[in-house]
Amino acid sequence: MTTMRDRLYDRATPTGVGLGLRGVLLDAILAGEADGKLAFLEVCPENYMHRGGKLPRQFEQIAERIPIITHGLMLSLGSADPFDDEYLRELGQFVARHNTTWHSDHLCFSGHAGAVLHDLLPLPMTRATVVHVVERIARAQDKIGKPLAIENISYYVPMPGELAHEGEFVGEVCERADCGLLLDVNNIYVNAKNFGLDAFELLRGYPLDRVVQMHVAGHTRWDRFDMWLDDHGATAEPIVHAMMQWVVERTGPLPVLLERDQSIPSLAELLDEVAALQSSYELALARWREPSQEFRHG
Amino acid sequence: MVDAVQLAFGRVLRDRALVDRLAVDPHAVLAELGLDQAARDQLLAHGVNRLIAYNTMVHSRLLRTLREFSPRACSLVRDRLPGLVHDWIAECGPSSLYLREVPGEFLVWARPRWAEAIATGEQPAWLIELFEHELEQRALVRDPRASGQPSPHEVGLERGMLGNPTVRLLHREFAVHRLPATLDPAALPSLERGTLVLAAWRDRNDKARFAPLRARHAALLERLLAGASLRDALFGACAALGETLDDTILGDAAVTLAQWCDDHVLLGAAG
Repeated sequence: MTTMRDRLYDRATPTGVGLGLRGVLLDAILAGEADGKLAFLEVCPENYMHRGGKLPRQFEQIAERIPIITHGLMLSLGSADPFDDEYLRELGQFVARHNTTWHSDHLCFSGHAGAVLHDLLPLPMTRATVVHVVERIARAQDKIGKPLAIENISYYVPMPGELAHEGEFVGEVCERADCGLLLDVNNIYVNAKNFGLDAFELLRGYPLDRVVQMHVAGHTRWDRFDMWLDDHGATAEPIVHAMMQWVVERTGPLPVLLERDQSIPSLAELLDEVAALQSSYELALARWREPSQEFRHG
Repeated sequence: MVDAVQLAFGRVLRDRALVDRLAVDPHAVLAELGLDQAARDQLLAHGVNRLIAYNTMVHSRLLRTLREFSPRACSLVRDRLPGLVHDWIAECGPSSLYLREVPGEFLVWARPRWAEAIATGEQPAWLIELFEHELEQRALVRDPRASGQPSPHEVGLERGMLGNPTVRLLHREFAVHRLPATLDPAALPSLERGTLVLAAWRDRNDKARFAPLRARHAALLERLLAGASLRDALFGACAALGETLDDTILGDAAVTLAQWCDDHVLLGAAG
């Protein structure tokens, strides 16, 4: 069975554990503190597009030294609002300049009736939504000039729809759009905790043949609303490592990203977490290399 | 074709007044928004608080962004800012895909409302200019244009001068650039209303810089940035102020041009 990885990966595709590039880390990374310790850096193009000055200059210097994967925030693939063509044009230029094989964004909407709400908002899990998103993915891919991968999001309200669970919804979109999946195992775990579900059961519902990349992160408690918030504000829990391993045991080598957006510690501390995650990843990879058909789901 | 659930959810995200009613009678409000019993049951399966949390997330993120980008102006508006932000999001909200451009969009919406508060003395007259100034500082730092390299050409009267592409002239009534880094709303400084022109630019060290200009210097820089030759800019600036170009003015202009080149306002002579 040919997987999305077979179709998208090339010699330059990084595998192993990388880190999400954040502005506060630029100086330390430029100083060489991460040299040889990261498989790649994942960058949010919106932070560097449409602006000048020191920040994009620093980023370009880093991109010459460490492989880059792009992951955006603002495609709003489920929105009814039209795409911003200028944004897509600039995004296309950005991903072309950094020679990424695919670009990823979230399966969500961010715009409502002309307002851009700057959040990743869940979509109804309906077949009509699937049709709408699939059509937008095709148009976005066409404008950006790169294949897209979509990321499963965390959400806090159960979204109505005839599709039974999030894996089925995401799978339908990936299949019909013929696109990749950026599988965020922390998002699945947060959803499982918030809805009282089994995280591995949710995970098993996702189409592993579509996975081209993974995200790993931590989350925090939001007591005011009695729920877990996917804020990437803590170290990833052991179960999230285990979920990542479960996937890698079945897919083989992948780029796996450690995300941190809140309470960001020093780069040295983040690199320790990257190293721990890399160890988990390599254990899973060793199991994948064993000739056990049990794990080979494609 | 967008699902009725998505449309209703969007309204809940944006409208704080709706959320206040939602907390009291969620089914009634969601029915008002066109959702049938099955959709309402599913959305509310884990309590109405989950929907309210989304509204809080969206509003809090935008409010935080305003406070981060304009801390001093936002500190003046204090308790009234959240209410303004709620109204703004419900009415129109941001349209830029770049979070860093959202505060400027908010200011366009808030300006007439703040003008009223200024007219009635509720807010200091310089509130809007302070907000603009704080945004300008960040806008300069991220200006997409490069701040330029020094020109190799010799300065001459018949030549123009090359401006740092990020330079702009700001016309203000208050010297908000002189305000301290933090403001105590209980003891606000008094700024006199006047006519002020500032040169604003990103320097060679990527810092936002502001410099007040005397009237003749402002007229001169304005003409140079518009591409006039040094001769035309000098004569034009003097004429605009009803002055006659003489040796004193020429000497002053030479010193000023040298200072602007040192400060990276100008890059030297145009080629």
